[in-house]
Amino acid sequence: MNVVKEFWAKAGSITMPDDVTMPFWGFAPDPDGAPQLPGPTIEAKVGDDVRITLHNTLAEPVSMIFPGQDIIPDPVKDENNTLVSFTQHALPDGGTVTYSFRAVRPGTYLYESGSSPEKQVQMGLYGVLIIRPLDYYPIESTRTAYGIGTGTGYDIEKIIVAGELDSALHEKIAAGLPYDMLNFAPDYFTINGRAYPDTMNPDNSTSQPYGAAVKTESGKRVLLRLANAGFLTHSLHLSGGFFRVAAGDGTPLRTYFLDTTYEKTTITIGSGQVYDCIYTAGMPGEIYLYDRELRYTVNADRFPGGIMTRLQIVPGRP
Amino acid sequence: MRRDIRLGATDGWIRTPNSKSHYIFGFVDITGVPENLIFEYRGKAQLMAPLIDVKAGDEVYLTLTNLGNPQRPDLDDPHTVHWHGFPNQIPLYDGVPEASIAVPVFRNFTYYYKPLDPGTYKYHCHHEPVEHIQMGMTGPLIVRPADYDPALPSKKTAYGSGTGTQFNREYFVFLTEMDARAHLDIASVQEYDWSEYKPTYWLLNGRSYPDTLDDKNGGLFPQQPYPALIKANAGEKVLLRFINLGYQQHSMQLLGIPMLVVGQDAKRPLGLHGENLSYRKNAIYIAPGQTLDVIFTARQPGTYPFYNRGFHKNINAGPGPGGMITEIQVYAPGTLPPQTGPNQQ
Amino acid sequence: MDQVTTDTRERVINLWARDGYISIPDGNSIYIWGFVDDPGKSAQLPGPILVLSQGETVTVTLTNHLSEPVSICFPGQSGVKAITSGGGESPVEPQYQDGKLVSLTNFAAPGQSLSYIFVASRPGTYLYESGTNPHKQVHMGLYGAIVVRPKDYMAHHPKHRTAYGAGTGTEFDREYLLIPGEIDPELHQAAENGQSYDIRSYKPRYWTLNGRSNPDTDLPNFAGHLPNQPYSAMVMAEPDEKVLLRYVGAGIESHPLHPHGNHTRAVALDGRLLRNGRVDLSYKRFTVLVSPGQTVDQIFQWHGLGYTPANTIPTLLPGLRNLAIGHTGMTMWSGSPYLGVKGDLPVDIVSYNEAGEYHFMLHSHEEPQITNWGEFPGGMMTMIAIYPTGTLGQHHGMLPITPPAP
Repeated sequence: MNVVKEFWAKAGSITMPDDVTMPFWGFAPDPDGAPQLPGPTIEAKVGDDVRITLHNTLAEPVSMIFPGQDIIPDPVKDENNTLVSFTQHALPDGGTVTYSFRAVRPGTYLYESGSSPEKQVQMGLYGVLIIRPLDYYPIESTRTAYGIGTGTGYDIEKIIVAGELDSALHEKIAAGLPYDMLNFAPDYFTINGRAYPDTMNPDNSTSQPYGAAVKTESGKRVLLRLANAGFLTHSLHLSGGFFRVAAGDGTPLRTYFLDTTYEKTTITIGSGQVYDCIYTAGMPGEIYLYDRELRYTVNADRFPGGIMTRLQIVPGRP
Repeated sequence: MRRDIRLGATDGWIRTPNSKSHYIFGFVDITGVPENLIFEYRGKAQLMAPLIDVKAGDEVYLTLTNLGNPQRPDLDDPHTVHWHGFPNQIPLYDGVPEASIAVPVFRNFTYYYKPLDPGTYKYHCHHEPVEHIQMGMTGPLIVRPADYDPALPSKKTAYGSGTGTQFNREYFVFLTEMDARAHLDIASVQEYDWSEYKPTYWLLNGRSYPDTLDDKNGGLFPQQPYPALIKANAGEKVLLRFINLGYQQHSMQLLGIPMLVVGQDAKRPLGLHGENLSYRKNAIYIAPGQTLDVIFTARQPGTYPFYNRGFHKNINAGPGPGGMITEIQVYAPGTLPPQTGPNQQ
Repeated sequence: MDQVTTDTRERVINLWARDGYISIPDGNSIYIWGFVDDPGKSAQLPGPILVLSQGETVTVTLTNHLSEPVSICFPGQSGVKAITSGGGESPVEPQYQDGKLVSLTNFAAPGQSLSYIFVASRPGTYLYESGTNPHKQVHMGLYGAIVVRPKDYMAHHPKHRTAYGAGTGTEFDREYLLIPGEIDPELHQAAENGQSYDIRSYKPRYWTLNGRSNPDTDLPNFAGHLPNQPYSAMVMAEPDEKVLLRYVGAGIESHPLHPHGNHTRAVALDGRLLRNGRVDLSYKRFTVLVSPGQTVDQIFQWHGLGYTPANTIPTLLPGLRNLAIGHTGMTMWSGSPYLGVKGDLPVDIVSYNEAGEYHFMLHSHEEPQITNWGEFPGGMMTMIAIYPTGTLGQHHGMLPITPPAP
C-alpha cells in the first residue's frame, strides 16, 4: 500500500497557557491551513511505501529526516563543502522535495527537519511517524505496537512528544535577527506542543492540535509512545505506579526467544530517543505523567505547567 | 606479553575551526624516547591523549613522567593516571591522589596493570579532576580479547571469537566539551569557578566540525591527531567505541544506519546466566564516565550524518554547523584498503 | 503477585515537615525544608530513612510546620490512601482549587496533619518526596528513602539477607543508601526570605550525597557537628563481601556515579528486580546514571589482585621525596601498597587511614559536581573503604541507621 502525504513548512504562532504567544515553524497538512506543532502524525503499516512531499514556504532550505527508517540521507553541502542539510532539501520560497522509503519495522519514530536543526527543530519542525506491524488490525487481539507475541498489545494508545521552547530565541529567529545558540535557555516545556494545563485539553484544530490527556478504565492497557523531540533530557514519571518498557527506538524488547522488558516508574529519555511503554490502568482515579526533572514542570516560573499531563481512570465494566 | 608505555604529562594548545587556540593540559607519548630528549616533548600535549591499545593477559608497565608546563611554570600540579573501570584495582595503581600518591613535576612513577577483561575503557588524570579532565588529560584505552588477531576475520573482535562482535574497521568516538573561558583563565594565571562550567565547544576526538571531517590521519592537527571521520566499504562491519569524558550527557544519532549496542562499560550486555541483551538504537545516550560499543553494518554507499541530537551543541561558540557533527562515509566494496589501526583513514 | 491478605502487621510513622539548616564544608549554611521524625528537632537532610517489611500496613502521619501546604508522594507504592477529614480512607489523588492543580496528591495545610496508608507490598528501594510545588519543595529538601525488606528477610541468615528475596541473586553482606541531591543556594535563600522562587535561574553550587558534601560525606553517621545531616555516605566493606548499593535519585538532575575499584551489577530498577521469570536481566556498569525519581540497586564486590608483602607488587615504589602525597594536607593512604599494612608517610601530612584499608573513590563523573561552589575537593564524592578481612565491625553497612547508644 502507498502512504502519500504532502506537507507545507510554514511560519505560524502558538500560545502558552499564560497567554504568552510566540512564533514557530511547523508542518501543515495542506497548502492553505496553519502549521501545527508537532507536525501531522504520519501513520503507515509494515510493507507500505511511504512518499512525503515537502513544500517550503520559508526563506531558507527545509528538509525532513526520518531516523530509524531505511533512507540513505544524501546530505547537501554548499560550495565550501559546509553542511547545509543532513538530507536533500526543499529550496526556499516554494521549493519542494520528495522522500520515499518503505516502512520495514514497526514502531514509534520522530521525523524532523535536517536543515539547521538547532534552529528549525527548535522552531517546531518535528512530528511523529507510527508504523503499525504487519498483523495489526484495530481489534483487541491484533492491536499491538510490534506484532502478536511481542507483549505490546494495548487498548488505547497515546503519543507523548516532549519538547522545549525558548521564546526569546523564537522571536529572534522569526524576525531574521542574529541569535546565539549558546544562549539557548528554554522557558516553556511541552508535550505535543502544549504546556500544562493545555496538555489536558482534547484534540482540536488549533496550531497545537494534539492533546496529551488519557481517559481509560481500570485494567485497560495504555500504550504510551514516549518520544523526546527536545534537545534536553527528560525523565517522565507516572505517579500511579509502574509501566512496562516494551520497546526503545523502534526495537521491541520481547522476542520469541527472550523477554527483556522491564518495569519502571520513571524513564529517562535522551534527546531523539523514543520508548514505547505499556501502562495497565490501576484503580479508578487520576494520575499524572510528568517530568521528574522538575525544572520542566513550570510555565515560565509557575507550577504547575510544562511537561505534565493527566490520566483519568474510570471503573472497568464488569 | 610485556608492554612498556611511557607517557609525559604536560601542556599544549589546540585549535578550533574559528581559528582560535585553546590552552590544554594533556599527555604525550614518550615511549622509548631517550632520557636526554624527553624534555623536547614539553608543551606538546595532545587531545585526545595517546591511545593505549593492549591485550587481555598483557603485563602493562605504564610510566608517567610529569614534564611540567612551559606555559605555566608556576603551576606545579602533580599528575596521575587513572584507568577508569579497571577491575579489582588497588589504590596504588588507581591514580587517585587522595587515596594513594601522585607524580610531582619532573618525577616518574610506574603503574602496573594486567588487564583480563576486553572492552573499551579510558584513562585520565585524577589530580584535581574537575580541572585536569576538562583541560584535556584524558584518552582512549582499548583492551583486546586474548584471542584477538586482526589477520583472521573470526578473531578480529571486540570481545572474543564467538561473541558476535566481529568488525572490519574500528573507530573510537570520544565525546568531550570545552568551556573556553576556563582554558583562557588557566592560561592567564586566573582562578576559575568550576560551578560556572558552561561549554562553548563540543568535541569529537578533540575536534569540532568541520575539523571532524579531516581525513589526513592527524597531519593538519598535530595536537589533535585522532580523526573523527568514519569510513567503510559497503558490506563491512564497523565498531564504534563511544567514550564520554565530558561533563554532560550526550545523545549521538546516526542517520540512516541502525546501531547495535554490543558492549557497555566494557561488558557485553549479558544477564547473569549469559542472556544476550544486545539491543538496537537510533540514538545513543551516554553519560560522563560511561563507554559503549556499537557495531553497524555499512550497506549502501553514501554519506550518513552522525551528530549530537542535542542540536544546540552543534556549534562552535557561535553559529552552526559546528561541534559534534561528523559523517560515516560508505564506499563501494573494495575501495578502501584495510585499516592499519583504530581511527586510521 | 504476593499474597498479603493475611498479614496484619502494622507500622506507624510520624513525620514533621519543617525547616532547618545544613552545613557545607566551605563554611556555608544552607536553609532547607525537610522531613524529621522527632517534633523537637529541626529538619534533616535527607528525611528519615524508612525501613519497612513487605506486607505490613504502613501509616505515615505528616504534620506540617511550614508556611505552605506539604504532602508526601510514594512513587512505586500502589493503593496509597489518605485519611480524610471524615475519618474514612480514600485513594490519594491530585488536588485542585478552582479547577487549578495545587498538589499532585492530598496535602496537609500549614499547621495541619494528614495520614497516608499503604501496604508495602513489594520489596525494594524507593523514594518519598513532597508532591506539592515539587519543583520547589523537593529541591528544598523534602525527600527521603524507603527500603522495603522482602517477606523472607532475615538479617543474620546469609541466604535470606537479600534485597528481593531468597534465590533472587540479591544476597548481600552489607548495604548502603546513596542519595544524590543538588543545592542552589540562591533559591534556598529566596525561600528563607519569603521571596519568589524562580526555578528558571536554577544553578546549583553544591552537590550532596545523603545530604552532605565531601569531605563530610566520609564522616560517620551522626557526626557531632552535622546534627541535621545524620547519614554518612561512605561505603565500608571487606574483600569478597557483597555490598548492596542502593542509589536513590532524589535530585532534579541526573548524576553519573562511578565507583573506583570494580564494576557494579545492577539488579533492580525503581524497586523492581531485573528478572522476567528465570531470565536474568541484570547488567554490569562502571558508571551508573542515577536519574531523577529513579532508584538503582547494585551489588559491588572487590576481590583484589592478591598482592601481599609475600607476593609483592611488580613495580618499585619511589621514595617519599619523589612522590606527591597529601596535596591538600591530608591523605586516606596508609603509606603501603598492601591491604592491612601501614607504611611511611611524610611527617607534615595527616593520614586518616585506620587499619591499612584501601580507599576507592565513588563520585559523580560530572566533575563540577565534585566541588563545593567550584572548589575541589567537595560535593558528590565519597570513598569505598575496603578493610582487611575480620577488622570491620558488623554494624557497618546495616539499615536502619540508628544513633549510637549514649
